[in-house]
Amino acid sequence: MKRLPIAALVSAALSIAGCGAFNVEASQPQACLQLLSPQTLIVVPPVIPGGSGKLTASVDIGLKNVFPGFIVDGSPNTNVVRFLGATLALTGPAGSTNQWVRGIKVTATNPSLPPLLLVDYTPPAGAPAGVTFNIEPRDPNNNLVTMLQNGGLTLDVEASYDISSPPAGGAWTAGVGACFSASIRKTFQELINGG
Amino acid sequence: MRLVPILLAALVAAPSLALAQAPAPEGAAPQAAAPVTAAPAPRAAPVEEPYPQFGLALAVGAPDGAVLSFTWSPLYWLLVDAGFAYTLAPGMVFGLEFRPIDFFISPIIRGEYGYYFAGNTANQIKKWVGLPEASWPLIGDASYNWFSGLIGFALGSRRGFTAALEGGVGYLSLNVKGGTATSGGLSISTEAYKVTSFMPVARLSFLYFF
Repeated sequence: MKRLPIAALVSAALSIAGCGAFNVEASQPQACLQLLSPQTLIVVPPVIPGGSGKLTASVDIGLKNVFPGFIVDGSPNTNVVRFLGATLALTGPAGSTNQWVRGIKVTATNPSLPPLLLVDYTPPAGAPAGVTFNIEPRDPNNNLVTMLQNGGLTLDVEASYDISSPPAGGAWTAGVGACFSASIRKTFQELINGG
Repeated sequence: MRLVPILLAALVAAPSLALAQAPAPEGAAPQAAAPVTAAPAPRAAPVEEPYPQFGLALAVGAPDGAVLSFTWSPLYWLLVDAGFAYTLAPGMVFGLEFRPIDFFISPIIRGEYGYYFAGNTANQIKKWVGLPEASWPLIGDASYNWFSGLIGFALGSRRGFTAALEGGVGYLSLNVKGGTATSGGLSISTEAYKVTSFMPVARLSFLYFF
């Protein structure tokens, strides 16, 4: 008579263990976004005489249009969105170069979270006056999934210069592209629980 | 019917046996015993009807979907099958199965591989994941395949109809091509997605040998 409850107990234990062992993993190794229209850069003059100035742009990237909701809306323990890198193409008046760029910073911002510095790039000395900067992430392990929730993610792009060699006068624009990866790993138990 | 030759042999042999056992007349030289001319015919062994080798099976399960397969059984305990399947897309399923006991109820050990072509799978994924319609081109064609190991039992005759119920574990891999889309002032391009799952599998099948 005791066999029936034991069998039921073993069966339930196996089911629970199975739900913990069974899992689903999804990964998108690379999704890249490119602004169709270049952003107009806002010139911020040096705040102190002889200091550095900067050109800034704020870019609202629609990552929610790229990654499905089940990736973006999950816990950072199971859902991961990483910044892989960016391209920044600065365009100024005819004949101008990008030799004035002393540094590039890209910061991820969210209205309800502290900003996260994604890129802190310094062009190497003597670098050619290229049109496009390919910039690497400061920490490739940063997980942006929380920043994609609660209001979305905005990238603040900033190119700094020395007052001794300012950018050529006139309108400057920035073509911005960014690449991200996403992955998710959930057990069946988490899926059943709605996690 | 097999008794008739035995009775005939017994009738032929009876007078010889009686003669051999009669006492010899006095004075007569001893004679060698008369040879037995007819021996009982050897009993014919019952002829075992061979197991049928070919069968047709219909199965439903997850992730199989519906499968119509042809089965070949070179040995009564070994079954190999290949079939056409359909879930969200057409596919193929191959199986190797052991049924070690020839009895009304028999245990089953089965290994299976399935591949499904790109069909309607991508369209279903677009709906399931809740991607905005403008971003649907980011999801290209999708195909999937899996391996599974199952155990179960079969009911019925190995020489005719059997029904089987099996369960086990499987590893499924869904491969989704990427794409390019324009949405919200952005040009978006994605590489191929990959979704894998270590999952439970189940299968109900009906097999008829002919």
